[in-house]
Amino acid sequence: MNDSRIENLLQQMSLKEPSAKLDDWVEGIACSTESVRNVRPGQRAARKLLPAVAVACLLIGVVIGRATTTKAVADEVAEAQSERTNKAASERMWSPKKRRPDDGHGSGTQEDVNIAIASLEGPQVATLCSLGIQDVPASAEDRCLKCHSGVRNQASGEDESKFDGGYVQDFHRQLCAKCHDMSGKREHLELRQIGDAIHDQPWHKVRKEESPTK
Amino acid sequence: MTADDICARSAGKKTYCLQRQGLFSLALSITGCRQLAEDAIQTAFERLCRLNTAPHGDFSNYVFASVRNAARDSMRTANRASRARESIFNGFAASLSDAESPSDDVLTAERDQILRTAVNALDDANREVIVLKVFAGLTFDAIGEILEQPAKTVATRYRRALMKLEERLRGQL
Repeated sequence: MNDSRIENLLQQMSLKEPSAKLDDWVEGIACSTESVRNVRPGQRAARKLLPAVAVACLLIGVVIGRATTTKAVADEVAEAQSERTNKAASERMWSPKKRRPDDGHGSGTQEDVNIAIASLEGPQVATLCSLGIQDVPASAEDRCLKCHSGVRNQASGEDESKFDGGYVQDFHRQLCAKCHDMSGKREHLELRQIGDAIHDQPWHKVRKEESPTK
Repeated sequence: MTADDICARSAGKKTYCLQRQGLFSLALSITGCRQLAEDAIQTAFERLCRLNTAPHGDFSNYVFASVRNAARDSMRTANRASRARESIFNGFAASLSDAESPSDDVLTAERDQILRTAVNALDDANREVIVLKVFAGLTFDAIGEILEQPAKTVATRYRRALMKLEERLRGQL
């Protein structure tokens, strides 16, 4: 009996075949790698849900992120716009070099003052001075600067407002009354009369109880 | 699911369709148990589907090697030594025999029994080579790749296995 004869006999033998269950499992392997005997239905469902949940979370994150960014950008734009408006109004009002040629007299100056007051945030000029502004006559800038020194704002580096945080060089009721309404306002504020000593102090510190004249 | 993943699955499925009988016979010859053999095939294909890169060499040989390793692993964990081994052969198969009379059927059944006993008496290494060469129809090169041995070594082992079978069948068939 040679080798080919034995091979021939072996090839004629009937072999046991794999079950149909295994065939089905391999047939469905293109759809899933999970074993049909090891995976519970809940696990299969969880695995199918996992990508959907991940995509949903991603979309929610994108929406929230976009909304937050849009709001922040809008706030920044509004703030920048407000700053530009205030700065422009202040410059037009208080800078002689940048004054428009045609607004040096009359109602143009008054409009600028109103614009500047309206555009400033917080207490207005009249309130800061504790005095009401009367009609500001022509060349108001020059007159204001006679009493108010335009102290530069160290924080921003800009002349935001000549009155805001500025120093009043000297208090003279007569001089203040030229521009401010002195009737019944801030009685605790004691203004010196012409001829009193000059105190280079902030206006808001010059109070009745602290006044050197008392 | 990546393109490589889909490719590996489709290639694995194609290999199973072509080598279904050989893969199962190999697994069954190692485990000696139908259930363990099928589990080994499933485990091997699950590993194939989790491959990140395409295997080197012939994919069919890789599948055979995977099934062999899975079957050997299952044997280590299942402690099958005390159980009776299950043959890779069916019982008497009249449809495959060329018997024309009841006496021929008896002869065929007797022949099958003799062959089954002879093959089962081989050691594991020789039986693996016989299964891969005869029942899976692989070349010596392919078998060498699966067993991680040179093709000449595989051929030598195959001839020795046939010689042992001849010794056992001598005078019986």
